[in-house]
Amino acid sequence: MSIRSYLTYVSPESIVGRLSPPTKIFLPVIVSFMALVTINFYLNLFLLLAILVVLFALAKPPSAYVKLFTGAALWMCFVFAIFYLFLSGYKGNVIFQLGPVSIVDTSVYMVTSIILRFLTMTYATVLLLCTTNQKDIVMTVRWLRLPYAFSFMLALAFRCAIMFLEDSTKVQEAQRGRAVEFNKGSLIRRLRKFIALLVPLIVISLKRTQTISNAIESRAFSFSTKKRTFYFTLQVKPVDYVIIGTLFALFALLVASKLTLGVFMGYPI
Amino acid sequence: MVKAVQVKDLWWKYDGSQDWNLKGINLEVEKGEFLAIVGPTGAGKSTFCMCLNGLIPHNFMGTMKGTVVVSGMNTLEKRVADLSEKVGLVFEDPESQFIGMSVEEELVFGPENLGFSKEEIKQRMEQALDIVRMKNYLNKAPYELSGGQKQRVAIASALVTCPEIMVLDEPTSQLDPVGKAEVFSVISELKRNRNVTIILVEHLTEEIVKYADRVILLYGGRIELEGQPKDFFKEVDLLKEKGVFPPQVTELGYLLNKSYGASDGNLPLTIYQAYEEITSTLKKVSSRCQK
Repeated sequence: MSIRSYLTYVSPESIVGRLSPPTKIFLPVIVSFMALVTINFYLNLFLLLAILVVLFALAKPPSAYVKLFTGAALWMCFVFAIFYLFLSGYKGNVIFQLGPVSIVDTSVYMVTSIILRFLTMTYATVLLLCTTNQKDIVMTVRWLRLPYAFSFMLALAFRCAIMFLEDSTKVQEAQRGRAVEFNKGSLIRRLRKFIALLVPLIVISLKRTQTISNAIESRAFSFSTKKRTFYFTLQVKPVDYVIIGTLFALFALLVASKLTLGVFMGYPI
Repeated sequence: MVKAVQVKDLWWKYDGSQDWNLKGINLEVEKGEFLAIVGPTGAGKSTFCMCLNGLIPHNFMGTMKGTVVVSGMNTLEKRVADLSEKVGLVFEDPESQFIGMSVEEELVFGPENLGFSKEEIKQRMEQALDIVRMKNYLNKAPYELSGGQKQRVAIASALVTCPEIMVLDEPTSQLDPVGKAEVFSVISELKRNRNVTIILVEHLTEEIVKYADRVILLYGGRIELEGQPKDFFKEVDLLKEKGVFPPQVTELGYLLNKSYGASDGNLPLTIYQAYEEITSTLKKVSSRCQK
C-alpha cells in the first residue's frame, strides 16, 4: 500500500467503521493516553489486549497495515530492550549475570512497561488509520466547535500532503531517469543527491501554493465571512455518546486515582 | 444593456517587474458571447484572466490603472468573494486547484462559502455534474480521476455557483488528446445550451474556430489583433510572427491562395471548408491547364 493509501483508506463495513467519526477518533486517542499515564503491569497488559481485541475482532484492519506497524514496533521494542536492560544504569536486584554484564529487576520492570505502552499506542494508531480518513478528522474538529480556520487548515494540510507525496514520487522517477541513484554512495553523497529531489519539489510546492491560494479566493473563501453554511453534517448516535462518555470517564478516573491514591502505579509485577 | 465585461485602458505591473504586463487593454464582451484569447507565453493572458475575477489587484502586489467592470461590478471596489458569484475561473493545472478529497467536497466548497442552503447546494451540484457528465464520480478522490475528468470537475466547481461569466485559462494545456476532447465537449455544451459568457484562453486554434464568436491576440500585454475567426485567421503571417499557429487547414488555404490565387479572400477554418476550397482550386488549375 502506498503512503497515500494509509491516509485515505477506511476498512469496509466493520463494527468500529460504522461508528461516528468522533468515536472512531476518541477511542484510540484516549486508550493511548491511558497507556501513557499508567505504569501498572496488569493495566498496561489489559489496555494492550483491549486494543488488540477491538482492532482484530471489530475493525478488520488490512494485513498490510498490521504487518508494517508490527514490524516497525518489534524493531523499536528490541531497541528499548537493549537500552533499558544493558545501558540504562538502573540500580536494583541482580536477576541475571554473565561476566561483567548484569540485568537488574528494575530494568526488566521498566522495559516491560515501555514495551506494553508502546505496543498499545502502536495498535491504537493502526485502529485510527484503518477506521478513519481525513474527512472524519476534519468533521470531528468541526463537531468539537473549534474555529473553522482550524478545520479548513487541517483539510488543506491533508490535501497538500497527498499532493506533495505525488510530486515527490514524480520527481524521484524523473531524477532516476537521469541516472540519480538515491540509495547508492556514502551518506554525504546521498544527502547531496537529495538536493536534486528537494529543489524541484520546493519550486513545484511554491507554484502549487500560489494556485491553491488563487483557487480558494476565486471560490468565495474568506475566514471572516459570517454566512458560511456546511453541506456535510455529522450524525452522532446515542451509542457514540455513551462510548465517548465512558472513555472520558475511565480516563478521568485513572488520572484521579493516580493523582490522589497513587493506585495503578508502579511495579513489581 | 450592461455588458458582461468592460475593460477600459487597463494597465497592470507586478511589483518587481520592469515592464507593464498589461498595456492599455480596451475590451468589451457581450452577454452570452464566446471570446477566445490567443498569444504566446508571457503575453499577459493569465494576468488578464485574473483581472476579470478581481484576483488582480486584490491578491497580487502591483500597480493597476484603468477599470475592469464585470456584470456591472467594478473589480477594484468589490472583493474577490463577491465577484466569484459572477465570474467562475478555471485554471490551467486541475490538480493544483483542488481543495477537497472527493469530487463532492470539491463542489460544495464554493456554495458553502457563499452561504447557500444544503438543498440549494445539492441542486446546483447536480446541475453542474450533469453539464460536465460526472454524476457517477461524486465520491471519487481527485487523484483517482484522469486529467480530463479532473479538469471537468474543476469546471463543475466553477459552474456550481452559476456564474454569468466563465473564464477558462488554458484548460487543456496539460491534458492528453482524450482529456482535451472531454473538456471541449463540455465547453461545447456550455456554448450551445447555457447562457454563459465564455472567455477561453487556448492555443489550439483548430478548436477555437469551432466555438469562438470573436478572437483576440494578446502580445506583449497589448491587444494586437481582434476579430471574428474568419477575419482573424486571415492574418496568417502576422499570427505566425507573434507565435500563434492558425489552424493547419487555414495555412494550407493561405498557401494555395498565395500560389494559385485560388481563394476569394476567405480562408478555410475547418476541414470541410478546406476540402471545398482545395476541390475548387484543383478544378481551376485543371481548367487553366486544359486551356
